[in-house]
Amino acid sequence: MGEMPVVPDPVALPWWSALLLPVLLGLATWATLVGDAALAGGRAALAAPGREAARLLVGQRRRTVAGDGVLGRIGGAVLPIAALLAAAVLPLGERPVADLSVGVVWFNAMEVMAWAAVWMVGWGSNSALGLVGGYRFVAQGLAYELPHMFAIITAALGAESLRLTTIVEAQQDMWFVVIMPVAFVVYLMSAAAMAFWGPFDAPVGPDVAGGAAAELSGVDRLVFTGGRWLLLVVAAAMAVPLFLGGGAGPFLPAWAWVAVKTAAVLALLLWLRHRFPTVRMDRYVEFAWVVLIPLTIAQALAVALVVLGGA
Amino acid sequence: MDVVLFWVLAAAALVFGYLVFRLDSMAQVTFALLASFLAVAALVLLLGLGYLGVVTALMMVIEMVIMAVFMIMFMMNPAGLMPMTMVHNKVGSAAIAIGTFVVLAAGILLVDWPTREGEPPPDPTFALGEALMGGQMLTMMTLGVGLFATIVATVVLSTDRGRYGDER
Amino acid sequence: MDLTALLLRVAARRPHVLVVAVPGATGVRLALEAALARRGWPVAPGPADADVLAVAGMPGPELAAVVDAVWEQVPAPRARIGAAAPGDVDERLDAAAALLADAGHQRTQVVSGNASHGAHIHSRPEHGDHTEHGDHAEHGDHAEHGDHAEHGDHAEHGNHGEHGADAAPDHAGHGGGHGGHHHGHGGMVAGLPMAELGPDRDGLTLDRLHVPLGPVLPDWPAGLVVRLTLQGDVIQEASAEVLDARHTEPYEWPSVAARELDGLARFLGVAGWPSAAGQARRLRDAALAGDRVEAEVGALLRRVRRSRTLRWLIKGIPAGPTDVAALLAARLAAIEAALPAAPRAVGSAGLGDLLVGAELAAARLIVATLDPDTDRAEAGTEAGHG
Repeated sequence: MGEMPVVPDPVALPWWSALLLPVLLGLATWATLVGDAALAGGRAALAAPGREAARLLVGQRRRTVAGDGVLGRIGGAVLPIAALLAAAVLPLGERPVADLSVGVVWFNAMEVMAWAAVWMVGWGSNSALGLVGGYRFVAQGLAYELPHMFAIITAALGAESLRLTTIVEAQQDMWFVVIMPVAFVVYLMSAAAMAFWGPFDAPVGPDVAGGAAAELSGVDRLVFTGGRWLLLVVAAAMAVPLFLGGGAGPFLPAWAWVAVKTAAVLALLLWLRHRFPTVRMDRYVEFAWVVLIPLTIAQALAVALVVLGGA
Repeated sequence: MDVVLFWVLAAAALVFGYLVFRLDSMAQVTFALLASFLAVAALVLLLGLGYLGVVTALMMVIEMVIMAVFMIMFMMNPAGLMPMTMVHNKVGSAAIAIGTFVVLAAGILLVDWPTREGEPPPDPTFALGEALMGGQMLTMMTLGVGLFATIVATVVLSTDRGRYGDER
Repeated sequence: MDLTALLLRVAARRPHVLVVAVPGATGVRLALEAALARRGWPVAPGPADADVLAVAGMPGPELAAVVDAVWEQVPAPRARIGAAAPGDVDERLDAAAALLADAGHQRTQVVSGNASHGAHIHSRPEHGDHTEHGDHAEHGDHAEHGDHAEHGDHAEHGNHGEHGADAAPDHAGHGGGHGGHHHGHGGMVAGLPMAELGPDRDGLTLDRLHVPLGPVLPDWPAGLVVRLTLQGDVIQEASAEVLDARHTEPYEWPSVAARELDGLARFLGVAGWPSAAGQARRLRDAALAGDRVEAEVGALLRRVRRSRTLRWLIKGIPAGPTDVAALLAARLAAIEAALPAAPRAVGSAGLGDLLVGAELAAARLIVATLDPDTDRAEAGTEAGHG
């Protein structure tokens, strides 16, 4: 201990890949939407996302009395932007757009932006149900953020690095999902919670008529829902370098394996909503603090012991 | 490029800090403060301290959201977005803020900075941690985990039954 | 090329429909929901997300006022339909879709917009307030904190009797704190009253917010309005009433199983389990059509009963002498036995008392499991105080 770590040269993709990233993410999100529509049993699932987007594009934007338009609009815009920035450290294949030495923390910081964003949207509409939705997300955020942090830190601990490409390299022999299954499961749950995706969709639940999004229409709603889907896709994709060995796999090139694994994680998340009813906030908060946090700490401890023993 | 970025971020930090005193909605004030902090976090990133910059951003977002919730939960009407200023002693706090800024800025300009000897370390964050903590790293880690375990245990015990602790 | 017209046509193939159920007209609502499921048109959770406002049945005067207020909040492009009989439903929905695709018509629909921007509906500057609060707009000068502005017309509003008060019962989310008109003390902001203070259970003095729930809410009993006094999302006071209570002819369900499946579907919807709710709704429609569905119903019941998550979520929410989990168990047993579930005769009276002390999500679950029969509601309001 104590010697300087060797910092590898950055292995980021060329600059133009930053322009490609939104396109790629958009396509992945579109595919997810189609998959979701198909799972919901809707007919014409292929066309559904397009019709929805067209509907919201021509939709009139509305404003509520004495609403806080500034915060509401900023909040809506922050969602997709945060998702895109979080995706910058995501290895697409072997290399990410930006190979930050603190990639894991960067990813987490961008996720947390969504936290502020949803609250701002709920607040901005000056509506009781919207505000309830916003507050629910903050409560949920508090409950998911700590287990989530421990889960991703466990992966970083296993690789002794916060850099995502190093974390992927550390899994050449064995995927982290094998040695840290608890962290992986907690990551999946908190990833769904972060995108307020079912069963953690109470912030936009039907019982409060859409919650934080209750007053959104037109482009505002498009940006908000689009940002939410992007978040879901990015969070699912991040499970691949953290726990599933990144682009490692036989026959196919790395980028194809990343795509396949991401699709599998997304399918799992879509199925989660199908399988479970919405978890009410008070119950989830208790569960997170009493069960998930001690579990993730124990997992991190176990991994730390393994790492220390192997070093 | 870095110089331009520095001035833009520095100006943003100041402008948002000024808005904290000018805006009349608690929620907007909170997020103006957050924006100011984020600009500072970006300045830290500009210094090459990646970890510290990103962690500042992470912690500040969490803190400001919690602050917004608590402030508005206890002090403000959710129905009408009542205009209300956040600072109680506006003149006093503004004076303190400006005074602190002037003192620090003067310090930066007046201090006789040493010239650099040698190269910056390959990982400045690591070096900073070493310099700050040195041999006490293990102590600090143990303390941190112990504190956190106390927090979790307290929550576990107090969450015993229901929202008000007395029912169900 | 007229891009807006093209987008309108594309979007009109899959509009979102906000259903307003009229007490007693359950048959029309069922036909409407079945038609929407057949077409794959989503149900909107509120006016902001709606393209079509569909009124199932002939509303009485109180509900009609609510429907008008809700219509004001539906953003363009939009269409409003009413179906008086189950047979009308498909024709009306087709008409709504045609109206939505008609660019010429939709341009006239933009709510209080600036006509000079006619070419692009989506680029229209948003209209000020299209809620019923428009008449308060002159208060827009942000009355100061202690400034007890003389809100003359505000007090008047409370005096509109049932109408003034009911004009926006569902606007909990749509304009905020409208119910405060009953109280109207403290400052005013943009014509909306401030919340006043009241003691909470810990002896703290916290803001109280008046929020009416219903009658236009997803999976909510037809015509029911519950007026809540909230501190945070905990209910301090609640009183329930049914709009146009004397106007309704009770609906006679042709099948008891279908009736209970309908209640189950709405409960599962409130519980946030759309896939199980959809399954229950499909079986309800099949049962109404006279199909034999025993096997599938058995599978659904097993699925609901086996869900440990659901049990964990609903156990211990008190609903009078029993709890939500027990009520759900009773309903599931009733579906199996094709008998009406015992506790559902609660009606709207006394409902308020059951909600006091619950938080908002729990209150929705309580109402959904009780599933009060608003068709047979007696007139009048019953208040519950905590």
